[in-house]
Amino acid sequence: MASSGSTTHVLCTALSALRLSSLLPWLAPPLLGLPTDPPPLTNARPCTMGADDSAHGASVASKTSPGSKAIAEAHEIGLDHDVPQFTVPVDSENKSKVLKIWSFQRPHHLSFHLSWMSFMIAFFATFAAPPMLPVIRDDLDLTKQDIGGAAIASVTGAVFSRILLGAVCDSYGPRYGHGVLQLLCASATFGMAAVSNSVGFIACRMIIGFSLATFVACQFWCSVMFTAKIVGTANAVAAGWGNMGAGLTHLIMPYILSGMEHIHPNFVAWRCAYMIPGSMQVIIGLAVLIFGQDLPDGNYGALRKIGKKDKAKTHMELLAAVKNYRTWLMVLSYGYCFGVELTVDNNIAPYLYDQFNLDLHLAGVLGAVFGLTNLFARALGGLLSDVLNKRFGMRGRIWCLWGVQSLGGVCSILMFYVDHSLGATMAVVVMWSLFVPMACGASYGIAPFITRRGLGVATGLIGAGGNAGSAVTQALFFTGANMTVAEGFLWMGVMILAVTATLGLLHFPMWGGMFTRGNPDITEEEYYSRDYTAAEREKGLHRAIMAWASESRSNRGFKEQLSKLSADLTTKANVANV
Amino acid sequence: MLRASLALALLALCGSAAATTYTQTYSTIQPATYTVSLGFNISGTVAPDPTPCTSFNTATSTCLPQVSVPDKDSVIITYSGPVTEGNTISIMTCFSNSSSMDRAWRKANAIIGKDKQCNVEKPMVKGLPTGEGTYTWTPGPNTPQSSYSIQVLEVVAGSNPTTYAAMGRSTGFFQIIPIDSRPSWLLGVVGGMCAVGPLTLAGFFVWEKMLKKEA
Repeated sequence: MASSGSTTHVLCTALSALRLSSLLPWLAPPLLGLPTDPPPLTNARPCTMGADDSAHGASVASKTSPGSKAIAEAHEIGLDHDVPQFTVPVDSENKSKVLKIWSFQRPHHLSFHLSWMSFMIAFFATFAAPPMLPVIRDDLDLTKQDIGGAAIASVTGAVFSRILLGAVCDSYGPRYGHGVLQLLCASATFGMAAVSNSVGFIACRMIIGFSLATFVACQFWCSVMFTAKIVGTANAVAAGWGNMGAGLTHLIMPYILSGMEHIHPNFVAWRCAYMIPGSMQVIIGLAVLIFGQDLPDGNYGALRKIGKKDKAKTHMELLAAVKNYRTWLMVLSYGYCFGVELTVDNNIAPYLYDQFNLDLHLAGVLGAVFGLTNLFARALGGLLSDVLNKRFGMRGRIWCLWGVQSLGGVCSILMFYVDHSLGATMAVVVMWSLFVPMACGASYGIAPFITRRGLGVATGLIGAGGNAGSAVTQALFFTGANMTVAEGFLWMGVMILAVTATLGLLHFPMWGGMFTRGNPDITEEEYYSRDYTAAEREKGLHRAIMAWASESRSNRGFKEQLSKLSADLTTKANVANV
Repeated sequence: MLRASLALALLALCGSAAATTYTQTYSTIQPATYTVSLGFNISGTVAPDPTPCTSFNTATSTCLPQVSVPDKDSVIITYSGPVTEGNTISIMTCFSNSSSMDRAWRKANAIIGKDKQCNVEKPMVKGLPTGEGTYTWTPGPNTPQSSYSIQVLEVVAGSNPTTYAAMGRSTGFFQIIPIDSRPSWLLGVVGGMCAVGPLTLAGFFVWEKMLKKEA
């Protein structure tokens, strides 16, 4: 198994998005463990981590390569490292071809469950404070600026840690990515119980927020464990279930606090309550390290030892992502779907508590609604993107993202106008909680197609953009004393609509954009090859992306593919007649 | 069908928590007809008529009587006003302006029922007789560290929504010294638990290295 950058793994998200449209009902075959049919459009294998991944300068172990000596020795002593056995159908890279969400089969499904659980616990710990804020703010004598600053800190740290963790996963594996992050951030979670002022509160929330970078490790891990046809499903489900941690913490922490209040005064009880998320982080961190496995074939260390894994080279991938304006458009856009989700997670429970004079439990239960819809809503966004892609190609994907994200903005605006009625507010929150995660899912239906060479960096930057967007929104609308929370929702909604309108600038030369048509004469191969220099193209390094480019042709949409097919057939017929 | 059921359950939950609509403002019960004076039982010493302090020095906090929750100090509230049969007196704490600044959850409101600066929805005591009376308030362990004054409201009997006939407010403020929310046992537990994560990680690396050596 050759090396793969984070590029390869997150590309599987997109490839599975391509596949999903041909697998309706999309969830049934993989979940039922039925074999999935090969894609109809091409025979190329899109998501290879072996010989095709020469973009990273990797090499496949062969009889003549240096790593093969170790394999040969392993064969001689009866250890068959080269042919692992699995209890699920796998492809040529030993990636699972099915997703059985009820299974803990090793290594694929156990890694899937460890991955989403780790991400969920990171969310649980990061957003444990908001549902207990009415108690915490009295104990620490916090002001609105302190609380806003802590909310900003909780999401800002992850901006950098998400970018960093892509490189960590590339070099050391997703297992260490999850484990190290959770075990180190757990110290800050426990440390929250000892803070005595706003400075300590803000610092702890920032360090705990680093754990949100487990999103990168989560997506990375799913991408290396599941084949291209279902990796989008696996990634969307894992990300959605992970995001659900914010809803769960709103639901559960008030009850943990209540339980502690039977024994201690409120100001001690909330500190004791923080032991729970801290302990969860330690447990999951250790579980990931002990029971997880980086790749289907084994852990990074073992594979390097027998020459089946090389280190990735990332500076050219970084350039490919950074110089593409589409990356930055999506960074901006994701900042106003996932960023909004993080902002609302920080503010909804205290808002309901203060605005409608609810008790802590009820505010937590109602606030949890926003996060809990991630159970299905994020995957729904990805599905909708795939469905529209099938008919309208990439233009359909962009319109889908624009549509659901704009509806999220409208809901945010409506929150201001219904601030007098709890029932109306919750009706808006329910709709809002669908559109925001759907926009997140739809975003990752577009992101993987921006660049092939810089895929991992691009998707990592976009993910970090979500946190950055939340930090900006929190600072602008929910930290100052002059603006109420309801007014903050109003202006946040206006900003969502304004930023979402920039999606009109997103244009792919071969696929078009919202208001522009694609040029059918420009091929996907040409577009993706632009990330390679002339010298690299001469060496043939760009050939690594050819299979991917071929697979991505489905973004032309049904009509265009049909007309192209017709034109090709006509040309062939003419040539034959001549 | 499932989604509709969940939506209905959610709306029912919201309905059960619907807030009452208040419209009466403080201006309807001005001028204040009740006088309120404070005495303090601090460390066992009763000061029935301390010099009221009307300016609060945030830096030194030296101007105000310091009422300590751990020492179980108490505030002796004496009110005096007209007697109205049937009506009752509610007494509540009011945050000072400095303790309400930049805290929207303690914002003053001209509408009595929505006033969060004075905890009108959560008075410390209800149902006291009108006219003259005394009440001793011992702040509980959940009392936030802030500076307060005391407000008295006369509640009209049987009114729904609650309406008020008269009010009074103490001059001067007092400061609450809260409980120690970080007892030494908690700090010890936190210190130990903070070390668990890094030690677990280090232990895992050592174990993994030992396994590799054996292999």
